[in-house]
Amino acid sequence: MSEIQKTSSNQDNTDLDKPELDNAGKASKNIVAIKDVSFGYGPRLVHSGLNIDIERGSITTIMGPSGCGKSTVLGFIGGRISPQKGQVIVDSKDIASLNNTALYELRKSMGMMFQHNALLTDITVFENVAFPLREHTNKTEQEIADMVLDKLEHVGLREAADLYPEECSGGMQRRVALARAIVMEPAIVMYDEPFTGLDPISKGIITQLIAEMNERLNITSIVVTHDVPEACEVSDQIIVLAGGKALGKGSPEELMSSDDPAIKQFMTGAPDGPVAYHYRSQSNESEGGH
Amino acid sequence: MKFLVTPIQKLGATVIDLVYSLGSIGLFFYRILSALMTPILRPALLFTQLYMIGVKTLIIILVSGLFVGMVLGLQFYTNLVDFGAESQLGLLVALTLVRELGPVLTALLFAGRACSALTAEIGLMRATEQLDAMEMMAVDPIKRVIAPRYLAGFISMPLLAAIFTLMGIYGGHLVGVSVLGGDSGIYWSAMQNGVDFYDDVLNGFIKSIVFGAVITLIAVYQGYYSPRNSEGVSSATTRTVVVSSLLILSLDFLLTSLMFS
Amino acid sequence: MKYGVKEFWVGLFVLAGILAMVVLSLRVGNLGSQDSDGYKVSAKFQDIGGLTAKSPVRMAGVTIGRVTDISIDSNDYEAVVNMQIFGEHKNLPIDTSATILTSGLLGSQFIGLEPGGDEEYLTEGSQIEYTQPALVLEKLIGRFITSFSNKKE
Repeated sequence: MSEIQKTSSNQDNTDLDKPELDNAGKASKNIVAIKDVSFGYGPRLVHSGLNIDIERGSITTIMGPSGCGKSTVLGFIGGRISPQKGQVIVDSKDIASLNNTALYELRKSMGMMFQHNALLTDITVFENVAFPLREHTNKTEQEIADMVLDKLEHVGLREAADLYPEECSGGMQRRVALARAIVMEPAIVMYDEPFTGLDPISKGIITQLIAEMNERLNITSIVVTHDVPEACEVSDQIIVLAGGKALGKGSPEELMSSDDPAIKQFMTGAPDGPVAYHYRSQSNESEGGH
Repeated sequence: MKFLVTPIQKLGATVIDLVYSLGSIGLFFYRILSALMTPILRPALLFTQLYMIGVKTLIIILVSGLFVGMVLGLQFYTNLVDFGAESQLGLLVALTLVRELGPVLTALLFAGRACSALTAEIGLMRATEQLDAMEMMAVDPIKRVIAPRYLAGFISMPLLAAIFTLMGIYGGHLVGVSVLGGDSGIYWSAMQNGVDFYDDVLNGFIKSIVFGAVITLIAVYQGYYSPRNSEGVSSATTRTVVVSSLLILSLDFLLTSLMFS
Repeated sequence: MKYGVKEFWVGLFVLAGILAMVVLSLRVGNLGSQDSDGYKVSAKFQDIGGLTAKSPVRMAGVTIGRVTDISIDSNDYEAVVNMQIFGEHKNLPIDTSATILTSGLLGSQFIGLEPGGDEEYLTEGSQIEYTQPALVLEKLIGRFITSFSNKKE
C-alpha cells in the first residue's frame, strides 16, 4: 500500500518537474508561462492544472468552446485575475509576486484588444490611439501625431482620426482598438475575440493585420477566439482548452489531423461529442456521479 | 423555530452587508485620497470635470435659488405682517437659507443633477470595459477617472451652495421689498444685525463641504462598483440619488444638532 | 496650454462661487465690521432678560456698539455685560446710564444708553454705574396681581 503511494507520488513529482525543466532550458524563448494554474468562480472550477507556454515572437491562438475560460487566461497574463493556485510568469516575472507599481510597469509592455473594443467614448479616434502615449511618454505633440497617424495608416483609418468612436462601424472600431493596442509597440499583444461580430471582409482584414503587426513590430501575439479558419490561418501554435485543461497543443496542421475526438469535434464543429451539447451544472454532475 | 430564526438571520445578514459596504467605501475613499495628486498635477483633467459637474449644474442652482428665496420672502412677509414684525424679514430669509436650505437644497439638486450623471458615466465605462482597458494600458482608473471627478465635486458643492444662498437672499429681497413694498434698508440691516459669521455663515459652509464630500463619494463608488450591464448601471444611478438624499437629510440633522445646540 | 470656452466657464463659475462666499461672509455674516477699532466698557444689571451676545447697543436709536459677552459676578450675583463701543463714538460721558429695552412689544432686546452731563468720557475698561434692569413681563404681571389682591384684602 505504502509502496504504491510512494511510486505514485514519485510519478507526480516527475510530472511536475518536467515542465519546469523545459522552462529552465528555454527561459529566454518563452515569454509567457502558465504553470499548473487552477481557478474557479465559487465552487465551479474553470481551470484545473492548466499549463501553457508561449514562445517569444509567435502567434498563439487559444481556442475552446464558450465558457471554457479563454478570456480568463488573458486576465491571468495581464494580472487582472489572480488564479487560486499555480504560477503565471510573464517576461520571467511572477505576476503574483509583483506589487501594484511593478504590475503597472509590466503592463506598459502589453497591449490588449478587448472583446467590445473598450474605446473611450468621450474622445476621438486619434485621442484614443494617443491615450497610452500621452499617459506614459513625454513626447511632443508632433511626435505623438506622427506615431498615431502612422498606426492609423497601418489599419487604414488615417482619414477617420477625427471621428468619435460612435461614428465608426464595428469593423472600424475593432481596427482602432488594434491600433491602440500596438501604439506603444509592446512585447505582448492580446486579442480577446477579435473576429466576433464582424463581416467576412472585416474578419479578413483583422486576420491580415494581426499577422502583419506580429511580423513588422516583432511582438508576441496571443489570440483568443473560437473562429477555427481564421485561427488556423494566422497561428503558429494553437491551444485547445476544454474541461479546465489544455486539451491539445500544436501547429494548425497537427491539430487538424489530430485523432483526439474532443479536438476533432471542436475543429470540425460537430454539435455533440465529448464536449456535451447539454448544459450541466456542477450539482447535476455530482448527482450523476453517485 | 424557523419563524424566529429567519428574521434574526436576516438582521444578521443586513448588518454584515452594512459593515462590509462601509469598509469597502472606506477603502475606496483611501484610494481616492492617495490618488488626489493626479488631478492637482494635471489641472486639465480637473478643469474638464469642473465644467461637467460644476458649470452644468449652475443654471439649475441659480434658478432654484431665486425661486426658493422668492417663496420664502412671500411666506415670511405675509405671516410677519400679522405681527407687525415685517422688519425681521431679511433676517428670517437669510438665516433659513444660510443655515439650512442653502446647503441642503443645493446638495439635493447636486445629487440629482451631477451625482446621478457621475454614477451613470462611470458605470457605463465599467460596463463597456473602458476602465479595464485603462488598467491594461497601465493607467490607474482611480487616478485618471475617479480622482478628478471626486475633487471637482468636492470643490463645486460649496461654491454652488454659496451661489444658491445668495440667489435666495436676493429672491427674498425681490419679493419682500420690490413687490410687497418692504424697506430695502431694513431688509439688509436686520440681516446684518442677526446673522453671525461664525455661528451661521461658517457653519453653513461646513455643512455644504461635508455634503459635497459625502455624496460625491457615494456617486463615484456606486459607479465604480456597478454591475457590468445596463440594469446594473440604472440601479446604481437610482441608488446614488436615494442614498445621497437620505444621507443629506440625516447628516443635516446631525450637523444642525451639533452646531446650533 | 490652450484655453477654450470650457476654461472660461470654469473660471467664471469658480469666481462667482468665491464671490458669493465673500458676499455672504462680509455683507450677510457681517464679518469684519464688529472688529473695527473701538473700546470696551462693562455694565452690571440685576436682570438682563433676553439680552444675548451680539445684541446692539443703541443711543437715541442709533446702533453705536454691540454686546460682546455676558457673565455673572459670583460676589453679588449680578449680570456683567461687556460691550464694544465703535471707535467713532468717543465722547460718551462717564455718568451715562444703561437700560435694557425691547424693540417693539415682543421684539429682541438691546441696551439703550442715555448720556449724562459729565465732562469726563468713558474709556477702555470703564464701567457704566447707572443701570436699570430689563423689564420682565412676567414679573410685572406678577407684581400687578399681588398689589391687586393686597388691595382687596
